[in-house]
Amino acid sequence: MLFIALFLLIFLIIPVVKVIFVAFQDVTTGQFTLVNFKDFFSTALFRESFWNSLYVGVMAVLIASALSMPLAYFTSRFEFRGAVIVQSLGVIPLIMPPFVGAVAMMMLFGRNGSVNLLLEQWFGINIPFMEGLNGVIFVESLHYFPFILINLSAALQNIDKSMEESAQNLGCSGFRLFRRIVLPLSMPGYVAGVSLVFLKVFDDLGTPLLLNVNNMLAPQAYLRIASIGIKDPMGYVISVILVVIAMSSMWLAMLSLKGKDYATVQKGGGGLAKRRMRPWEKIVAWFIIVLIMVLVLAPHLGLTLLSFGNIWSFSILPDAFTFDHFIAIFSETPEYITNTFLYSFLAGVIDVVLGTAIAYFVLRTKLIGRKLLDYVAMSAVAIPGLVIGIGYLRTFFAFRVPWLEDQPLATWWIAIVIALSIRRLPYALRACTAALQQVSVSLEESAENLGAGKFSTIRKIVVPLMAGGILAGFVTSFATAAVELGMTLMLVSKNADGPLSYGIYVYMQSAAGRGPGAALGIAAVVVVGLCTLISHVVVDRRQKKYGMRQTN
Amino acid sequence: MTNTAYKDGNSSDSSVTLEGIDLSFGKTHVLKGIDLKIESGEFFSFLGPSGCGKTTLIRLIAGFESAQAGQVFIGKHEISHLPPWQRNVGMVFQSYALWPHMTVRKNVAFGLEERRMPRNEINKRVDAAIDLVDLIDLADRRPSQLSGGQQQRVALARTVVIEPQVLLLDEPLSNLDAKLRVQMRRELRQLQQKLSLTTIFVTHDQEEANTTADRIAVINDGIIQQVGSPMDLYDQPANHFVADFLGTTNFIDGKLEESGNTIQFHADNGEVIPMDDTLDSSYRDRCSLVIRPQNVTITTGTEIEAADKIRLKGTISGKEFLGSTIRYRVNVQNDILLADAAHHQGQIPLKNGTTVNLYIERNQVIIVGV
Repeated sequence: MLFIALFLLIFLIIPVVKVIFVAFQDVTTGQFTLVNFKDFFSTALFRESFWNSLYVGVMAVLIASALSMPLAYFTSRFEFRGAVIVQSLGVIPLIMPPFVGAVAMMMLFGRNGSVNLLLEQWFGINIPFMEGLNGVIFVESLHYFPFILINLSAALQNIDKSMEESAQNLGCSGFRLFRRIVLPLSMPGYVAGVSLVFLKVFDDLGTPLLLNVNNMLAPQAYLRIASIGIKDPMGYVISVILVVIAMSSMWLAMLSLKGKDYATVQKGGGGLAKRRMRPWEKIVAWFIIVLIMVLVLAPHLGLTLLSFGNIWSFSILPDAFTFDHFIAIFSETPEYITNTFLYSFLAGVIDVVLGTAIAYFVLRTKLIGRKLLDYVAMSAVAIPGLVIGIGYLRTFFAFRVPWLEDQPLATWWIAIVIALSIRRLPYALRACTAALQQVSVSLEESAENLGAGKFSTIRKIVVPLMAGGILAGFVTSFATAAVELGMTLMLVSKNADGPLSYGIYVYMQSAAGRGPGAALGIAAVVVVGLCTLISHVVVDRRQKKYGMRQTN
Repeated sequence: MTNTAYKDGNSSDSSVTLEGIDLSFGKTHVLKGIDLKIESGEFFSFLGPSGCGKTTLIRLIAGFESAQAGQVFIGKHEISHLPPWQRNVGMVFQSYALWPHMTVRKNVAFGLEERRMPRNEINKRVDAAIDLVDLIDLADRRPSQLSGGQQQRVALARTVVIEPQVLLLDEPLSNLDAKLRVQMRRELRQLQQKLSLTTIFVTHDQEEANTTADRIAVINDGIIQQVGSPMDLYDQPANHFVADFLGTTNFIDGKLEESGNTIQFHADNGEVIPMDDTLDSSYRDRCSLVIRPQNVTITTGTEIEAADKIRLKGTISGKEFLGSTIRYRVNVQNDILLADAAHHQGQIPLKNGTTVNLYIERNQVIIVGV
């Protein structure tokens, strides 16, 4: 426990505190000062960036809501075959981070992209989907709307039929019923989804950078540090603002959820009363679903075209198709792929080991400070990757690794691994905690009763029974670490150390590199998708095999 | 089964002694000064309503809870300081707690493997234990493929295979359906006698305790109310709680008063009942008469006066048909008394409103404090 606490202190708390500290420090004298913040808000570019980031966050939430609400409504209200499609719709965008598809979306929806070329041919109009901030909003909302969809559907599914029926019994129906019963009961789920989307969009660095939108907060922080150096206070000021906004959006969500655990499902199944759709309703529903489906798959489609395309410029489709880009990424820069496997694997292992240990401390021991440990580990979820990256640079640059010719720790690849593991720890920790909660305490007590000591019990009973959850945690950590960009961008000191996400970013910078970049993107999607699928199958099979009984 | 190395020299004495056990969870005082001795080889039951502390008490013996004060002994050895895995006290959990990732055989072998026993010895014993509970055919299944009753047997086999000095059973029958419960409690009893194991059985079901246990400790509110054989507890309850908890009972509240040479019971409902002068006269203050319904004789004929009987007059206000008996509700002054009458085929029960005489043998009345 002490070791974990130390690990979190050194690699999470100190770097973040350092960032905050520097933001309030006078550059030359080191005195406490607010002058950096004054500078920030008196610079027009920064003010503009600040408002742009807020604007993009809010707009993305609105569009994401508009996308998810009809889908959630269809699946929870009607007996409807499309429900399965809607469910898979929910996962598809998540297996690819937004920045990967950003350039592909430019090719499809940009001013000279396929869609606008078609529109111009047919109607003579040009819609600025991707102009400036629009592009960021468009790409982000398409990628993150599943968070709202999943949370909202879950909330709707948790409303018991009896809630609705008793309202009807008391004379309430139609829209009033929706407004007074269904809406309030599903609100917590919706709010949780919204806060997550806002947070993700607000912190995202890769998408605006690749769409060449620099007047937002995250890109500004990156550009300041990258161009002026780690001494420039503006990067830190922006980091503090990012953290504060992220924390407060989570806090607001928590506040609005407080005391509203509306799990109203009674024994014997729940969910709202469902009915069959009328034919015309079916047509409308399918139309909306297909439209959203096309939008959701657009980045993947674009990426695929880009990766196999020869030259693609001012045309609806690429001129010719080739495997060259795939050959290029495996022959010229295989290190991107091998690095990714190495880093993500190590980060995943660190995460499940820490996650299992913390979950055990919290749920099974009475050690002092175990709750705090849990909170600290979870707090990483609200810290943007960019901020952790900056914090590591600042904190560990002075620390030389003796056996590596005194190279700074911050630029050693191990730093990337640790940063990735810290950043993804919350996901693994949640998975491990959930897994341990599923293991009845009496299963451990009976082992102890039959003569097994604490350690033996953990090894033979607890860990095997948690294995499914641990695997799920590992895969989540592994898959999301593979495509993390904000932090990697700060910490990669030479191209040879870069993982996939870094490679995609580097390639996508130039027009010539888009093909190989897209090929790398496809590789990332395949890796992440396969991992998710495999873990799903394995966990499912295990649960079937052991039966679902022992969960009390 | 043979004696083994992990038992110490005194293993023949496997009595359990609890001395001054006091335990609190935060501000909740769960066990309040428990003193108890359970004899070697005895089938002993902790009986009480839920939340009375009975489960905490056996978890304490198993080592999963630690008391703020008091000691636990097996034989002459104090075990209070030992962790659960060094106690050699076998516990069968209410949920059975079978490990879902292991087969029946693996589950049963676990305890012996932890004791680093040679493989062939483990196999021999595991087979014997599985045979003991009649599960040889299912030895390679996983727990999720077994019925509730079968899981229960696995849990038992897994516990007795380590030859514990004491066997603890935490409501082992509560997850079974009614018919299986009756069968299993008989089997439990047979198994216990076969192995002559000191056994402690926790239950909230008086019938279960009565039919299996040699002796019962009735527990309420963290205090042992009475210890005794099932019949002792039923016929001679020490207090109001025990009388009420075991079986159906009539209580008549009032107080004892001496008048000359005789003792009279002045009931709150106004009835004055002359009592035996041999009665325990220590209840000077408030007390209750305890009368079991089957000890009340109900008649409609003329009154008989008999020195050895108490006579009460009442009106029938309701009845329940229980099969072998009819239980009448009789209004006596302001009280309601239950009286059981045997039912014979074709017999017509008394109508509501009938005035009746109730007769109770004096030596079948018990007095308890309130």
